[in-house]
Amino acid sequence: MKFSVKGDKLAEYLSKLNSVIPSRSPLPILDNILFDLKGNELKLLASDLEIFIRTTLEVEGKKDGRVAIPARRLLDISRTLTSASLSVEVNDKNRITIKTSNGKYTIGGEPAEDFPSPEEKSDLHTINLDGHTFKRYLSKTIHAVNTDELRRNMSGVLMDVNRNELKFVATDGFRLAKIIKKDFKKQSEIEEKIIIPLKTGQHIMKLNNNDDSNIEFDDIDLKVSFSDVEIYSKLIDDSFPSYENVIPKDNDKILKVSKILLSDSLKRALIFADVITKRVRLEIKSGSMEIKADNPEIVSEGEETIECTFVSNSGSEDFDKSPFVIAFNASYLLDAVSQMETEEINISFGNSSKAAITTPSKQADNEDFIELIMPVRVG
Amino acid sequence: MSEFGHKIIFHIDMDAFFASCEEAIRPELKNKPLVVGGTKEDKRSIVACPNYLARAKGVRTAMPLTKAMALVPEANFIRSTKGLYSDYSKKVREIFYKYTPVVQPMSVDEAFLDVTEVLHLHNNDHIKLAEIIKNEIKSTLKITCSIGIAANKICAKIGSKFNKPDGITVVPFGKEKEFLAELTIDKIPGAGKATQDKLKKYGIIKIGDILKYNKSFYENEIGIHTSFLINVASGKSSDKVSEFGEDRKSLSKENTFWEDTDDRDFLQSELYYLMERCCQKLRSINTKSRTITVKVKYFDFKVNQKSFTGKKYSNVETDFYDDAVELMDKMLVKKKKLRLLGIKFSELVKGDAAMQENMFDDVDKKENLLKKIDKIRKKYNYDVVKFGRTFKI
Repeated sequence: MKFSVKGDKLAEYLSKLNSVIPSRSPLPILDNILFDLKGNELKLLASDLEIFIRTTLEVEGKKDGRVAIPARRLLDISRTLTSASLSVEVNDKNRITIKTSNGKYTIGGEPAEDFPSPEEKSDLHTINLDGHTFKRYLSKTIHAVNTDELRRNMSGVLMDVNRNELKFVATDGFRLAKIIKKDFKKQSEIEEKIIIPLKTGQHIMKLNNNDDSNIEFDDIDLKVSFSDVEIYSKLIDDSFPSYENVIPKDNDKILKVSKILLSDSLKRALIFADVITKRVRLEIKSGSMEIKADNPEIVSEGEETIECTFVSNSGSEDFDKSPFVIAFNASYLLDAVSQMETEEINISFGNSSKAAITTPSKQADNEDFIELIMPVRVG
Repeated sequence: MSEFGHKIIFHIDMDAFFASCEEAIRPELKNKPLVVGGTKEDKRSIVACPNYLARAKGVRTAMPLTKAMALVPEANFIRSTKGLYSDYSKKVREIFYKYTPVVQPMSVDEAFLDVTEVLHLHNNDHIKLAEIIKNEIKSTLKITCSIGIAANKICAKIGSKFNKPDGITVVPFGKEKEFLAELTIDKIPGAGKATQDKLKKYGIIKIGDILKYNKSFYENEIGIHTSFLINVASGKSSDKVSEFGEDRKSLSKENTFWEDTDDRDFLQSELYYLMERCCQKLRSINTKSRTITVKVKYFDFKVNQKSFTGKKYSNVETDFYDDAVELMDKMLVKKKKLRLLGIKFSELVKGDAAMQENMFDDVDKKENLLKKIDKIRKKYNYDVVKFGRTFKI
């Protein structure tokens, strides 16, 4: 194998793969990146065995070939030679020589055959999503994914492809984020629900620059392609909890509050709250919300009051609602509030042990986004 | 306040309580060394309580039964009688309440009584009142106790040990420091062997010696927290006798096995059982926890323990079980069988405070079910309801 490439270009593509390379792997070959050159097209592949990421870049190809190259050393050297033109050559013994105008570096590689390859399936369902939607919907939900290892069925984002709707949902049992694309045009007969693992979702979000995406899947595997990136991943082989029943339909107290005032207050409350439960008490009445946090263990407490109003379903002010107290994990509430993109947000409540629902004061076109948060007992 | 200008606290400690109760219901056991804890067949048991004749021959509480057998082969060795001690404990407590409403039971066989406000009914004679209580216990229950009288709790507690059995000791009011100064440091309640050994290295043998050094010396040089020790040596301690006891900081339970084991299934069952018992207690006092500690003792008596603090408070054993198993697994070492397994719940909170609701998991439903099971078990016995996890034991 022999090719030439600019240092900064190689560094850019190698760093795309960097995050999937396991820091400590039982399989030493995974410390490498597989280089596969055909003509001027160089494909780079890295994996942690659960996820494979492939990127393709244009180089000046001189001789086709395949080899596995230690990722860390190659990335380090290419990062320091960004402006140089690199000539890369691999001999029969998998020794890689990198030459610049005034330097020569040699790295020992591994046979390409030792590197695992992703399973290429031909009979997968396919949907196409514009890059904006795919990345946006993942980013609106992924923070709610369960991170404890016990409840696997919640440890990813549900993508629910429906007749005329596309839903992304994530939950950890304490909060649930759901976003619906209402103008989704069904592209085939498929009606499928898949759970995209958290880590796969994070890689997609990191690498996708709002590029249109081709999503292929069956019950077990997922392949996402966009721009010059292909991501292969296993899906979570479990059924997502039936979440529709837990979303309250009868929350009758709807509160309108400034997003920035509430999120700033919550950030301050977090400083004074118990470090594990992160509990904040909200004492809500028409006109104002008192936000209180305390941590008796370190004798700290904080409280502040912000403006808010009760509104009716139509959005007009509602003076009839009686005051009430409810408590939340401030982090969860802050996460939810941060996802809203309007200056004012609505939070609807039932009672102090029922889920509250946050929504933007105005939904984006053809979209329905809610985040549900379970309260903490007031005690 | 009493006419003395301070409180009058009694610490009443029953003398060789389990053994005395046994002798009270089976007088034929009297006048001979008696060891409660197990019969001569129960080779792995430990001594729960020796009577004074057995103590005279060197038998101590928590000593392996085999050792006690070697010391006094002629003694009567009996297993403890279920329900007897709590029964007697209740009766003793009833007697306390006849004399003062301010009683803080510390365990089955000891309690603090604040008699400050009732002393005028007894001519302000605290010794007389102590004798009345002691005599009533002796005449109605046929068991004896020792009473320490002092202006604070620690001094009263040290006092009750001073003249055992069947004695009364007054720690002179205002002269506590002098009274304690000549006593050895092993008389301080709660000062374990490790602390004692550290102190002895610096020539601190008597309680009075503690005041030779200041707090920073102890913390920097010896590495122990000594506010408590310095207060004791100065004769100071709390005089608040609280009916509800001190705030509970943790709740634990442990079990020594009949034989050492490394059977993981058995250990998991045992772990679940211990957690069930602790959580049952937590539920009964409407308390929740979020930190569990699993303790193991290996065949060679070496101890190891690991803790985990979860995100939510609970008193439902299933909420902690998986984490507890993980902690235990980390401590299971090849070729090292366990002789003891224990579990501790700490970071306790009263009531429902700070419980994070879960949309897919009805916490109350689980807790209510377990509360009903607790009731059934209380009425009949533990074994009438069993979960699959504890079938093995």
